[in-house]
Amino acid sequence: MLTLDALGHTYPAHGRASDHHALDHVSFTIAAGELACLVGPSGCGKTTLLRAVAGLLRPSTGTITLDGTPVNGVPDGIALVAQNYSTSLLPWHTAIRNIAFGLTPQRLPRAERGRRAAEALAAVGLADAGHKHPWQLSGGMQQRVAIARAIARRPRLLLMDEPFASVDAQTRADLEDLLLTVQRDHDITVLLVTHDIDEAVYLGHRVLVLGQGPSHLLADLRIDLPPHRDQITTRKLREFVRLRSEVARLVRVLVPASPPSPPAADERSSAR
Amino acid sequence: MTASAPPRHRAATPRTDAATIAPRPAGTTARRCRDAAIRIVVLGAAAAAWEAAARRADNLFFPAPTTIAAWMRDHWLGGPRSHLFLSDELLYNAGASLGRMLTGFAGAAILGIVLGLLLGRSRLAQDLTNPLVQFGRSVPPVVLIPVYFLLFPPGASTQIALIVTGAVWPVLLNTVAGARAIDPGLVDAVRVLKVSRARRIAQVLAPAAAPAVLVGLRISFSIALILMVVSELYAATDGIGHALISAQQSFDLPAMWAWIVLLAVLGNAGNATLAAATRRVLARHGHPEHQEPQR
Repeated sequence: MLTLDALGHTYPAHGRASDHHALDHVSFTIAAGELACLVGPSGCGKTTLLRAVAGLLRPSTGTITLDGTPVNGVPDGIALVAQNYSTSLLPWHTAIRNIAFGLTPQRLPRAERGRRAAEALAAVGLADAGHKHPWQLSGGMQQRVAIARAIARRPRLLLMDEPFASVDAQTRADLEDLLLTVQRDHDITVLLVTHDIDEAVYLGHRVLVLGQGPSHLLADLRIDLPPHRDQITTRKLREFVRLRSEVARLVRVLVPASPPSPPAADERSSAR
Repeated sequence: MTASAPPRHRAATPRTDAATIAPRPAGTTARRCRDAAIRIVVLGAAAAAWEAAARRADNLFFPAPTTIAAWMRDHWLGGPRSHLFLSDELLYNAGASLGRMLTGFAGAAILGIVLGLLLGRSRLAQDLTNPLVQFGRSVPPVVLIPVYFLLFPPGASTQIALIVTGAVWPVLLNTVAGARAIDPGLVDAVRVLKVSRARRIAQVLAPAAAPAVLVGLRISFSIALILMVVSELYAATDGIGHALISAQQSFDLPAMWAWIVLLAVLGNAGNATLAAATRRVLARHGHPEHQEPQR
Protein backbone atom coordinates (compact mmCIF):
# COMPACT_ATOMS: atom_id res chain seq x y z
CA MET A 1 0.00 0.00 0.00
CA LEU A 2 2.74 2.40 1.08
CA THR A 3 6.26 1.66 -0.10
CA LEU A 4 9.43 3.56 0.72
CA ASP A 5 12.36 2.70 -1.47
CA ALA A 6 15.84 3.83 -0.42
CA LEU A 7 14.50 7.07 0.97
CA GLY A 8 17.16 9.58 1.90
CA HIS A 9 17.12 13.23 2.79
CA THR A 10 19.82 15.80 3.37
CA TYR A 11 19.11 19.30 4.64
CA PRO A 12 21.47 21.84 3.06
CA ALA A 13 24.02 23.45 5.39
CA HIS A 14 22.36 26.92 5.63
CA GLY A 15 25.10 28.45 7.73
CA ARG A 16 25.90 25.32 9.70
CA ALA A 17 29.25 23.61 9.38
CA SER A 18 28.01 20.83 7.13
CA ASP A 19 24.92 19.39 5.53
CA HIS A 20 22.64 17.45 7.80
CA HIS A 21 21.91 13.88 6.72
CA ALA A 22 18.51 13.24 8.22
CA LEU A 23 17.63 9.99 6.47
CA ASP A 24 19.68 7.37 4.68
CA HIS A 25 18.35 4.54 2.56
CA VAL A 26 15.17 3.79 4.45
CA SER A 27 13.03 1.14 2.78
CA PHE A 28 9.87 -0.55 4.02
CA THR A 29 6.36 -1.43 2.96
CA ILE A 30 3.12 -1.09 4.87
CA ALA A 31 0.12 -3.20 3.92
CA ALA A 32 -3.43 -1.86 3.77
CA GLY A 33 -5.15 -1.94 7.15
CA GLU A 34 -1.90 -2.12 9.05
CA LEU A 35 -0.98 0.07 12.00
CA ALA A 36 2.76 0.60 11.87
CA CYS A 37 4.69 2.48 14.53
CA LEU A 38 7.97 4.15 13.76
CA VAL A 39 10.22 4.58 16.80
CA GLY A 40 13.63 6.04 17.25
CA PRO A 41 15.54 8.48 19.43
CA SER A 42 14.59 12.13 19.12
CA GLY A 43 16.22 13.92 16.23
CA CYS A 44 16.60 10.74 14.21
CA GLY A 45 14.58 11.94 11.26
CA LYS A 46 11.18 10.46 12.09
CA THR A 47 9.34 13.69 11.36
CA THR A 48 11.34 14.21 8.16
CA LEU A 49 10.22 10.78 7.00
CA LEU A 50 6.59 11.50 7.81
CA ARG A 51 6.67 14.88 6.08
CA ALA A 52 8.12 13.21 3.00
CA VAL A 53 5.34 10.61 2.99
CA ALA A 54 2.77 13.41 3.36
CA GLY A 55 4.26 15.11 0.32
CA LEU A 56 5.17 18.19 2.37
CA LEU A 57 8.88 17.70 1.74
CA ARG A 58 10.62 16.47 -1.37
CA PRO A 59 13.19 13.85 -0.34
CA SER A 60 16.72 14.15 -1.75
CA THR A 61 16.86 10.54 -2.86
CA GLY A 62 14.64 7.49 -3.11
CA THR A 63 10.97 7.15 -3.90
CA ILE A 64 7.70 6.85 -2.01
CA THR A 65 4.81 5.02 -3.62
CA LEU A 66 1.24 5.12 -2.37
CA ASP A 67 -1.14 2.59 -3.93
CA GLY A 68 1.19 2.27 -6.90
CA THR A 69 1.46 6.00 -7.55
CA PRO A 70 4.68 7.87 -6.75
CA VAL A 71 4.19 10.58 -4.13
CA ASN A 72 4.86 13.94 -5.70
CA GLY A 73 3.23 16.71 -3.69
CA VAL A 74 0.51 16.05 -1.13
CA PRO A 75 -1.39 12.91 -2.26
CA ASP A 76 -5.18 12.78 -2.21
CA GLY A 77 -6.92 10.94 0.58
CA ILE A 78 -4.37 11.16 3.34
CA ALA A 79 -4.73 12.71 6.78
CA LEU A 80 -2.19 14.03 9.24
CA VAL A 81 -2.44 14.37 13.02
CA ALA A 82 0.43 16.38 14.43
CA GLN A 83 1.80 16.57 17.95
CA ASN A 84 0.87 20.19 18.40
CA TYR A 85 -2.91 20.23 18.44
CA SER A 86 -3.01 23.91 19.35
CA THR A 87 -1.70 24.90 15.92
CA SER A 88 -3.37 22.28 13.76
CA LEU A 89 -6.97 23.42 14.32
CA LEU A 90 -8.40 26.73 13.15
CA PRO A 91 -9.13 28.68 16.35
CA TRP A 92 -11.80 30.85 14.66
CA HIS A 93 -13.89 27.80 13.72
CA THR A 94 -15.88 25.62 16.08
CA ALA A 95 -14.94 21.96 16.46
CA ILE A 96 -17.60 20.79 14.03
CA ARG A 97 -16.64 23.42 11.45
CA ASN A 98 -12.99 22.45 11.78
CA ILE A 99 -13.93 18.90 10.87
CA ALA A 100 -16.25 19.96 8.04
CA PHE A 101 -13.50 22.25 6.72
CA GLY A 102 -11.35 19.16 6.20
CA LEU A 103 -14.12 17.64 4.08
CA THR A 104 -14.54 20.54 1.67
CA PRO A 105 -12.23 19.16 -1.05
CA GLN A 106 -14.27 15.96 -1.23
CA ARG A 107 -17.17 17.57 -3.12
CA LEU A 108 -19.84 16.26 -0.80
CA PRO A 109 -23.22 17.92 -0.38
CA ARG A 110 -23.23 20.31 2.56
CA ALA A 111 -25.63 18.18 4.59
CA GLU A 112 -23.50 15.10 4.08
CA ARG A 113 -20.43 17.00 5.25
CA GLY A 114 -22.25 18.04 8.41
CA ARG A 115 -23.48 14.51 9.02
CA ARG A 116 -20.03 13.02 8.59
CA ALA A 117 -18.43 15.64 10.81
CA ALA A 118 -20.97 14.96 13.57
CA GLU A 119 -20.41 11.22 13.19
CA ALA A 120 -16.63 11.61 13.51
CA LEU A 121 -17.06 13.84 16.54
CA ALA A 122 -19.27 11.21 18.17
CA ALA A 123 -16.69 8.53 17.35
CA VAL A 124 -14.08 10.37 19.42
CA GLY A 125 -16.56 10.91 22.25
CA LEU A 126 -17.15 14.62 21.73
CA ALA A 127 -20.70 14.57 20.38
CA ASP A 128 -21.67 17.50 22.62
CA ALA A 129 -18.65 19.70 21.99
CA GLY A 130 -19.27 20.50 18.32
CA HIS A 131 -20.21 24.12 18.94
CA LYS A 132 -17.12 24.86 21.02
CA HIS A 133 -14.02 26.60 19.76
CA PRO A 134 -10.69 24.77 20.12
CA TRP A 135 -9.51 27.19 22.80
CA GLN A 136 -12.51 26.26 24.91
CA LEU A 137 -11.39 22.64 24.96
CA SER A 138 -8.64 20.90 26.90
CA GLY A 139 -5.53 19.67 25.12
CA GLY A 140 -6.74 16.10 24.99
CA MET A 141 -10.09 17.20 23.60
CA GLN A 142 -8.41 19.32 20.94
CA GLN A 143 -6.38 16.31 19.89
CA ARG A 144 -9.60 14.30 19.71
CA VAL A 145 -11.03 16.93 17.35
CA ALA A 146 -7.88 16.65 15.22
CA ILE A 147 -8.31 12.88 15.11
CA ALA A 148 -11.99 13.30 14.24
CA ARG A 149 -11.06 15.65 11.40
CA ALA A 150 -8.65 13.03 10.12
CA ILE A 151 -11.02 10.06 10.27
CA ALA A 152 -13.98 12.01 8.86
CA ARG A 153 -12.00 12.22 5.64
CA ARG A 154 -11.98 8.39 5.52
CA PRO A 155 -8.31 8.52 4.59
CA ARG A 156 -6.56 5.65 2.88
CA LEU A 157 -3.49 6.54 4.93
CA LEU A 158 -3.46 8.24 8.33
CA LEU A 159 -0.15 9.78 9.35
CA MET A 160 0.41 10.62 13.00
CA ASP A 161 3.42 12.54 14.27
CA GLU A 162 3.84 12.01 18.03
CA PRO A 163 0.09 12.49 18.38
CA PHE A 164 -0.08 11.85 22.11
CA ALA A 165 3.19 13.41 23.25
CA SER A 166 1.64 16.66 24.49
CA VAL A 167 -1.16 15.34 26.68
CA ASP A 168 -1.16 14.02 30.23
CA ALA A 169 -0.67 10.33 30.98
CA GLN A 170 -4.31 9.39 31.55
CA THR A 171 -5.50 11.25 28.44
CA ARG A 172 -2.70 9.61 26.54
CA ALA A 173 -3.88 6.12 27.50
CA ASP A 174 -7.45 7.06 26.54
CA LEU A 175 -6.37 8.44 23.19
CA GLU A 176 -4.26 5.36 22.48
CA ASP A 177 -7.28 3.14 23.01
CA LEU A 178 -9.42 5.51 20.97
CA LEU A 179 -6.98 5.17 18.09
CA LEU A 180 -7.07 1.38 18.33
CA THR A 181 -10.88 1.38 18.24
CA VAL A 182 -11.10 3.83 15.36
CA GLN A 183 -8.42 2.02 13.40
CA ARG A 184 -10.20 -1.32 13.79
CA ASP A 185 -13.69 0.03 13.09
CA HIS A 186 -12.71 1.95 9.97
CA ASP A 187 -9.90 -0.34 8.86
CA ILE A 188 -7.54 2.60 8.33
CA THR A 189 -3.88 2.20 7.41
CA VAL A 190 -1.84 4.11 9.97
CA LEU A 191 1.78 5.19 10.13
CA LEU A 192 2.45 6.56 13.61
CA VAL A 193 5.69 8.16 14.69
CA THR A 194 6.62 8.12 18.36
CA HIS A 195 9.69 8.18 20.57
CA ASP A 196 7.87 6.14 23.22
CA ILE A 197 8.83 2.47 22.96
CA ASP A 198 5.96 1.20 25.13
CA GLU A 199 3.45 3.12 23.08
CA ALA A 200 4.85 1.75 19.82
CA VAL A 201 4.63 -1.85 21.03
CA TYR A 202 1.21 -1.34 22.60
CA LEU A 203 -0.35 0.21 19.49
CA GLY A 204 1.45 -1.36 16.57
CA HIS A 205 0.87 -4.36 14.41
CA ARG A 206 4.42 -3.65 13.44
CA VAL A 207 7.21 -1.60 14.93
CA LEU A 208 9.84 -0.06 12.71
CA VAL A 209 12.97 1.01 14.57
CA LEU A 210 14.92 3.89 13.13
CA GLY A 211 18.57 4.37 14.09
CA GLN A 212 20.40 7.63 14.33
CA GLY A 213 22.74 9.76 12.33
CA PRO A 214 21.91 9.57 9.42
CA SER A 215 19.04 7.36 10.33
CA HIS A 216 18.41 4.05 8.68
CA LEU A 217 16.03 1.21 9.41
CA LEU A 218 17.43 -0.92 12.26
CA ALA A 219 14.63 -3.43 12.62
CA ASP A 220 11.15 -4.27 11.43
CA LEU A 221 9.33 -6.23 14.14
CA ARG A 222 5.97 -7.92 13.86
CA ILE A 223 4.01 -7.48 17.10
CA ASP A 224 2.19 -10.73 17.85
CA LEU A 225 -0.01 -9.53 20.65
CA PRO A 226 -3.72 -10.31 20.85
CA PRO A 227 -5.64 -7.90 18.62
CA HIS A 228 -7.74 -6.63 21.49
CA ARG A 229 -5.36 -4.65 23.64
CA ASP A 230 -5.85 -3.38 27.14
CA GLN A 231 -3.77 -0.82 28.98
CA ILE A 232 -3.40 -3.05 32.05
CA THR A 233 -3.43 -6.64 30.87
CA THR A 234 -1.61 -6.26 27.56
CA ARG A 235 1.23 -4.38 29.19
CA LYS A 236 1.65 -7.25 31.68
CA LEU A 237 1.99 -9.93 29.00
CA ARG A 238 5.33 -11.70 28.82
CA GLU A 239 5.40 -11.09 25.07
CA PHE A 240 4.81 -7.36 25.54
CA VAL A 241 7.69 -7.12 28.00
CA ARG A 242 9.96 -9.10 25.70
CA LEU A 243 9.16 -6.94 22.66
CA ARG A 244 9.56 -3.76 24.64
CA SER A 245 12.98 -4.83 25.85
CA GLU A 246 14.01 -5.81 22.36
CA VAL A 247 13.06 -2.44 20.93
CA ALA A 248 14.68 -0.66 23.88
CA ARG A 249 17.94 -2.54 23.28
CA LEU A 250 17.85 -1.59 19.60
CA VAL A 251 17.29 2.05 20.38
CA ARG A 252 19.93 2.00 23.12
CA VAL A 253 22.64 0.64 20.85
CA LEU A 254 22.92 4.14 19.53
CA VAL A 255 23.13 5.96 22.80
CA PRO A 256 26.85 5.44 23.60
CA ALA A 257 27.71 6.91 20.22
CA SER A 258 25.97 10.18 21.04
CA PRO A 259 27.50 12.90 23.27
CA PRO A 260 25.72 12.13 26.63
CA SER A 261 27.98 9.89 28.77
CA PRO A 262 27.44 6.11 28.67
CA PRO A 263 26.88 5.66 32.46
CA ALA A 264 23.65 7.64 32.23
CA ALA A 265 22.42 5.25 29.57
CA ASP A 266 23.33 2.22 31.70
CA GLU A 267 21.50 3.63 34.68
CA ARG A 268 18.40 4.02 32.59
CA SER A 269 18.54 0.47 31.31
CA SER A 270 19.05 -1.05 34.75
CA ALA A 271 16.00 0.84 35.97
CA ARG A 272 13.86 -0.88 33.38
CA MET B 1 -11.28 20.53 31.99
CA THR B 2 -13.78 22.42 29.89
CA ALA B 3 -14.90 25.97 29.38
CA SER B 4 -16.63 25.90 32.72
CA ALA B 5 -13.34 26.49 34.49
CA PRO B 6 -13.54 28.94 37.39
CA PRO B 7 -13.60 32.58 36.35
CA ARG B 8 -10.25 34.26 36.37
CA HIS B 9 -9.26 37.79 36.96
CA ARG B 10 -7.56 39.89 34.41
CA ALA B 11 -4.16 38.37 35.18
CA ALA B 12 -2.39 37.43 31.96
CA THR B 13 -3.74 34.14 30.68
CA PRO B 14 -0.99 32.21 28.93
CA ARG B 15 -2.00 31.20 25.41
CA THR B 16 -1.07 27.59 25.93
CA ASP B 17 -3.50 27.27 28.80
CA ALA B 18 -6.36 26.78 26.39
CA ALA B 19 -8.51 24.85 28.81
CA THR B 20 -9.04 27.64 31.26
CA ILE B 21 -10.15 30.53 29.08
CA ALA B 22 -13.14 31.45 31.15
CA PRO B 23 -16.25 33.30 30.16
CA ARG B 24 -16.11 36.99 31.12
CA PRO B 25 -15.29 37.12 34.83
CA ALA B 26 -18.12 38.04 37.14
CA GLY B 27 -18.07 41.62 38.39
CA THR B 28 -16.61 43.01 35.20
CA THR B 29 -19.80 44.88 34.34
CA ALA B 30 -19.77 46.72 37.66
CA ARG B 31 -16.12 47.49 37.20
CA ARG B 32 -16.69 48.78 33.70
CA CYS B 33 -19.44 51.11 34.91
CA ARG B 34 -17.13 52.42 37.60
CA ASP B 35 -14.31 52.96 35.08
CA ALA B 36 -16.66 54.75 32.69
CA ALA B 37 -17.92 56.98 35.52
CA ILE B 38 -14.35 57.89 36.49
CA ARG B 39 -13.52 58.73 32.88
CA ILE B 40 -16.53 61.01 32.60
CA VAL B 41 -15.58 62.76 35.84
CA VAL B 42 -12.02 63.34 34.59
CA LEU B 43 -13.29 64.69 31.28
CA GLY B 44 -15.79 66.94 33.07
CA ALA B 45 -13.12 68.21 35.45
CA ALA B 46 -10.81 69.06 32.55
CA ALA B 47 -13.60 70.92 30.76
CA ALA B 48 -14.47 72.80 33.95
CA ALA B 49 -10.82 73.75 34.48
CA TRP B 50 -10.59 74.95 30.89
CA GLU B 51 -13.79 76.95 31.36
CA ALA B 52 -12.51 78.60 34.52
CA ALA B 53 -9.09 79.37 33.04
CA ALA B 54 -10.60 80.76 29.83
CA ARG B 55 -12.98 83.04 31.72
CA ARG B 56 -10.27 84.30 33.99
CA ALA B 57 -7.87 84.96 31.08
CA ASP B 58 -10.60 86.51 28.95
CA ASN B 59 -8.41 86.04 25.87
CA LEU B 60 -9.90 86.28 22.37
CA PHE B 61 -7.83 83.29 21.19
CA PHE B 62 -8.99 80.96 23.92
CA PRO B 63 -12.78 81.10 24.09
CA ALA B 64 -14.48 79.26 26.94
CA PRO B 65 -15.94 75.81 26.18
CA THR B 66 -19.42 77.18 26.77
CA THR B 67 -18.79 79.84 24.10
CA ILE B 68 -17.67 77.14 21.68
CA ALA B 69 -20.67 75.01 22.56
CA ALA B 70 -22.97 77.98 22.00
CA TRP B 71 -21.42 78.52 18.58
CA MET B 72 -21.96 74.85 17.75
CA ARG B 73 -25.60 75.08 18.81
CA ASP B 74 -26.20 78.22 16.74
CA HIS B 75 -24.47 76.99 13.61
CA TRP B 76 -24.75 73.23 13.60
CA LEU B 77 -28.23 72.63 14.96
CA GLY B 78 -31.61 73.81 13.78
CA GLY B 79 -31.82 71.77 10.61
CA PRO B 80 -34.94 69.89 9.52
CA ARG B 81 -35.97 66.65 11.17
CA SER B 82 -34.95 64.64 8.11
CA HIS B 83 -31.37 65.83 8.69
CA LEU B 84 -31.43 64.80 12.36
CA PHE B 85 -31.77 68.52 13.18
CA LEU B 86 -28.29 69.17 11.90
CA SER B 87 -27.61 72.32 9.88
CA ASP B 88 -26.60 72.41 6.23
CA GLU B 89 -23.32 74.09 7.15
CA LEU B 90 -22.30 71.10 9.26
CA LEU B 91 -23.62 68.42 6.93
CA TYR B 92 -22.13 70.00 3.85
CA ASN B 93 -18.61 70.36 5.23
CA ALA B 94 -18.46 67.22 7.32
CA GLY B 95 -20.10 65.20 4.51
CA ALA B 96 -17.57 66.41 1.95
CA SER B 97 -14.63 65.64 4.25
CA LEU B 98 -15.89 62.29 5.45
CA GLY B 99 -16.81 61.16 1.94
CA ARG B 100 -13.31 61.82 0.65
CA MET B 101 -11.61 60.48 3.74
CA LEU B 102 -13.59 57.24 3.90
CA THR B 103 -13.14 56.64 0.16
CA GLY B 104 -9.41 57.13 0.52
CA PHE B 105 -9.26 55.01 3.66
CA ALA B 106 -11.22 52.20 2.00
CA GLY B 107 -8.87 52.35 -0.99
CA ALA B 108 -5.84 52.18 1.29
CA ALA B 109 -7.38 49.29 3.23
CA ILE B 110 -8.18 47.21 0.14
CA LEU B 111 -4.83 47.91 -1.49
CA GLY B 112 -2.90 47.24 1.72
CA ILE B 113 -4.73 44.03 2.58
CA VAL B 114 -4.54 42.52 -0.91
CA LEU B 115 -0.88 43.42 -1.42
CA GLY B 116 -0.05 42.45 2.14
CA LEU B 117 -1.56 38.98 1.85
CA LEU B 118 0.25 38.39 -1.44
CA LEU B 119 3.59 39.62 -0.10
CA GLY B 120 3.13 37.84 3.20
CA ARG B 121 2.99 34.44 1.52
CA SER B 122 6.09 34.90 -0.61
CA ARG B 123 9.47 35.48 0.95
CA LEU B 124 10.99 36.28 -2.42
CA ALA B 125 8.40 38.95 -3.18
CA GLN B 126 8.99 40.39 0.29
CA ASP B 127 12.74 40.55 -0.18
CA LEU B 128 12.38 42.16 -3.58
CA THR B 129 9.88 44.81 -2.50
CA ASN B 130 11.28 45.51 0.96
CA PRO B 131 13.45 48.53 0.00
CA LEU B 132 10.48 50.07 -1.79
CA VAL B 133 8.13 49.51 1.14
CA GLN B 134 10.65 50.82 3.66
CA PHE B 135 11.19 53.92 1.56
CA GLY B 136 7.48 54.49 1.04
CA ARG B 137 6.55 54.19 4.67
CA SER B 138 9.40 56.44 5.79
CA VAL B 139 8.16 59.44 3.83
CA PRO B 140 6.05 61.56 6.21
CA PRO B 141 2.62 61.43 4.55
CA VAL B 142 1.92 65.19 4.80
CA VAL B 143 4.90 66.10 2.59
CA LEU B 144 3.01 64.44 -0.26
CA ILE B 145 0.40 67.21 -0.10
CA PRO B 146 2.38 69.93 -1.92
CA VAL B 147 3.65 67.34 -4.39
CA TYR B 148 0.16 66.09 -5.25
CA PHE B 149 -1.33 69.55 -5.58
CA LEU B 150 1.55 70.55 -7.82
CA LEU B 151 1.17 67.54 -10.10
CA PHE B 152 -2.61 67.16 -10.18
CA PRO B 153 -5.50 69.61 -10.28
CA PRO B 154 -6.89 70.32 -6.79
CA GLY B 155 -10.07 68.44 -6.14
CA ALA B 156 -11.65 65.40 -4.58
CA SER B 157 -9.80 62.80 -6.66
CA THR B 158 -6.40 64.28 -5.90
CA GLN B 159 -7.27 64.33 -2.22
CA ILE B 160 -8.46 60.71 -2.32
CA ALA B 161 -5.31 59.60 -4.14
CA LEU B 162 -3.27 61.41 -1.52
CA ILE B 163 -5.05 59.62 1.31
CA VAL B 164 -4.69 56.22 -0.36
CA THR B 165 -0.96 56.58 -0.90
CA GLY B 166 -0.33 58.10 2.50
CA ALA B 167 -2.43 55.70 4.57
CA VAL B 168 -1.65 52.43 2.80
CA TRP B 169 1.66 51.72 4.57
CA PRO B 170 0.63 50.75 8.10
CA VAL B 171 -2.09 48.38 6.88
CA LEU B 172 0.28 46.92 4.28
CA LEU B 173 3.10 46.32 6.78
CA ASN B 174 0.83 44.87 9.42
CA THR B 175 -0.92 42.59 6.93
CA VAL B 176 2.45 41.27 5.78
CA ALA B 177 3.44 40.66 9.40
CA GLY B 178 0.11 38.95 10.12
CA ALA B 179 0.25 36.70 7.07
CA ARG B 180 3.84 35.80 7.82
CA ALA B 181 3.12 34.91 11.44
CA ILE B 182 0.91 31.93 10.57
CA ASP B 183 2.22 28.90 12.39
CA PRO B 184 4.10 26.46 10.12
CA GLY B 185 2.20 23.62 11.80
CA LEU B 186 -1.09 25.14 10.68
CA VAL B 187 0.26 25.61 7.17
CA ASP B 188 1.20 21.92 7.03
CA ALA B 189 -2.14 20.81 8.47
CA VAL B 190 -4.04 22.84 5.89
CA ARG B 191 -1.81 21.72 3.02
CA VAL B 192 -2.54 18.07 3.82
CA LEU B 193 -6.28 18.80 3.82
CA LYS B 194 -5.90 19.94 0.18
CA VAL B 195 -8.61 22.56 0.41
CA SER B 196 -9.01 24.94 -2.51
CA ARG B 197 -6.93 28.08 -2.75
CA ALA B 198 -9.99 30.32 -2.34
CA ARG B 199 -10.98 28.55 0.86
CA ARG B 200 -7.42 28.70 2.14
CA ILE B 201 -7.35 32.45 1.70
CA ALA B 202 -10.85 33.07 3.06
CA GLN B 203 -10.83 30.66 5.98
CA VAL B 204 -7.17 30.39 6.98
CA LEU B 205 -5.01 33.22 5.73
CA ALA B 206 -7.45 36.10 6.16
CA PRO B 207 -8.69 35.18 9.67
CA ALA B 208 -5.14 34.46 10.82
CA ALA B 209 -3.98 37.86 9.65
CA ALA B 210 -7.11 39.72 10.80
CA PRO B 211 -5.87 40.93 14.22
CA ALA B 212 -2.70 42.38 12.69
CA VAL B 213 -4.69 43.88 9.80
CA LEU B 214 -6.97 45.69 12.25
CA VAL B 215 -4.00 47.09 14.14
CA GLY B 216 -2.73 48.45 10.82
CA LEU B 217 -6.15 49.87 9.95
CA ARG B 218 -6.23 51.87 13.15
CA ILE B 219 -2.97 53.60 12.35
CA SER B 220 -4.02 54.09 8.73
CA PHE B 221 -7.27 55.67 9.89
CA SER B 222 -5.48 58.33 11.91
CA ILE B 223 -3.19 59.08 8.96
CA ALA B 224 -6.22 59.36 6.66
CA LEU B 225 -7.81 61.85 9.07
CA ILE B 226 -4.63 63.95 9.22
CA LEU B 227 -4.24 63.95 5.42
CA MET B 228 -7.90 64.81 4.94
CA VAL B 229 -7.81 67.88 7.15
CA VAL B 230 -4.32 69.13 6.23
CA SER B 231 -5.00 68.88 2.52
CA GLU B 232 -8.20 70.85 3.03
CA LEU B 233 -6.26 73.54 4.87
CA TYR B 234 -3.98 73.67 1.85
CA ALA B 235 -6.35 73.63 -1.08
CA ALA B 236 -10.09 72.99 -0.93
CA THR B 237 -13.35 74.81 -1.39
CA ASP B 238 -15.31 72.81 1.17
CA GLY B 239 -14.76 70.36 4.02
CA ILE B 240 -13.86 70.58 7.66
CA GLY B 241 -10.31 71.77 7.03
CA HIS B 242 -11.58 74.48 4.71
CA ALA B 243 -14.17 75.63 7.25
CA LEU B 244 -11.50 75.60 9.95
CA ILE B 245 -9.01 77.74 8.01
CA SER B 246 -11.79 80.12 6.89
CA ALA B 247 -12.83 80.60 10.51
CA GLN B 248 -9.22 81.24 11.50
CA GLN B 249 -8.72 83.78 8.73
CA SER B 250 -11.86 85.69 9.69
CA PHE B 251 -10.94 85.55 13.40
CA ASP B 252 -14.07 83.57 14.18
CA LEU B 253 -12.24 81.70 16.90
CA PRO B 254 -15.14 79.85 18.55
CA ALA B 255 -15.86 78.41 15.07
CA MET B 256 -12.23 77.36 14.63
CA TRP B 257 -12.27 75.58 17.97
CA ALA B 258 -15.62 73.97 17.20
CA TRP B 259 -14.26 72.36 14.02
CA ILE B 260 -11.22 71.13 15.96
CA VAL B 261 -13.50 69.52 18.53
CA LEU B 262 -15.44 67.87 15.70
CA LEU B 263 -12.22 66.42 14.29
CA ALA B 264 -11.35 64.97 17.68
CA VAL B 265 -14.79 63.40 17.92
CA LEU B 266 -14.49 61.85 14.44
CA GLY B 267 -11.01 60.51 15.16
CA ASN B 268 -12.22 59.00 18.39
CA ALA B 269 -15.28 57.42 16.78
CA GLY B 270 -13.17 55.78 14.09
CA ASN B 271 -10.61 54.51 16.55
CA ALA B 272 -13.27 53.17 18.91
CA THR B 273 -15.02 51.34 16.05
CA LEU B 274 -11.80 49.67 14.93
CA ALA B 275 -10.82 48.87 18.52
CA ALA B 276 -14.17 47.14 19.03
CA ALA B 277 -13.68 45.14 15.82
CA THR B 278 -10.21 44.12 17.02
CA ARG B 279 -11.59 42.92 20.34
CA ARG B 280 -14.22 40.87 18.55
CA VAL B 281 -11.67 39.22 16.28
CA LEU B 282 -9.30 38.49 19.15
CA ALA B 283 -12.12 36.96 21.18
CA ARG B 284 -12.95 34.69 18.25
CA HIS B 285 -9.31 33.65 18.12
CA GLY B 286 -9.42 32.81 21.79
CA HIS B 287 -6.80 35.18 23.13
CA PRO B 288 -7.49 38.43 24.87
CA GLU B 289 -4.07 40.04 24.49
CA HIS B 290 -3.51 42.95 22.21
CA GLN B 291 -0.82 43.08 19.60
CA GLU B 292 1.52 46.02 19.49
CA PRO B 293 1.05 48.14 16.38
CA GLN B 294 3.89 47.95 13.88
CA ARG B 295 5.03 51.11 12.22
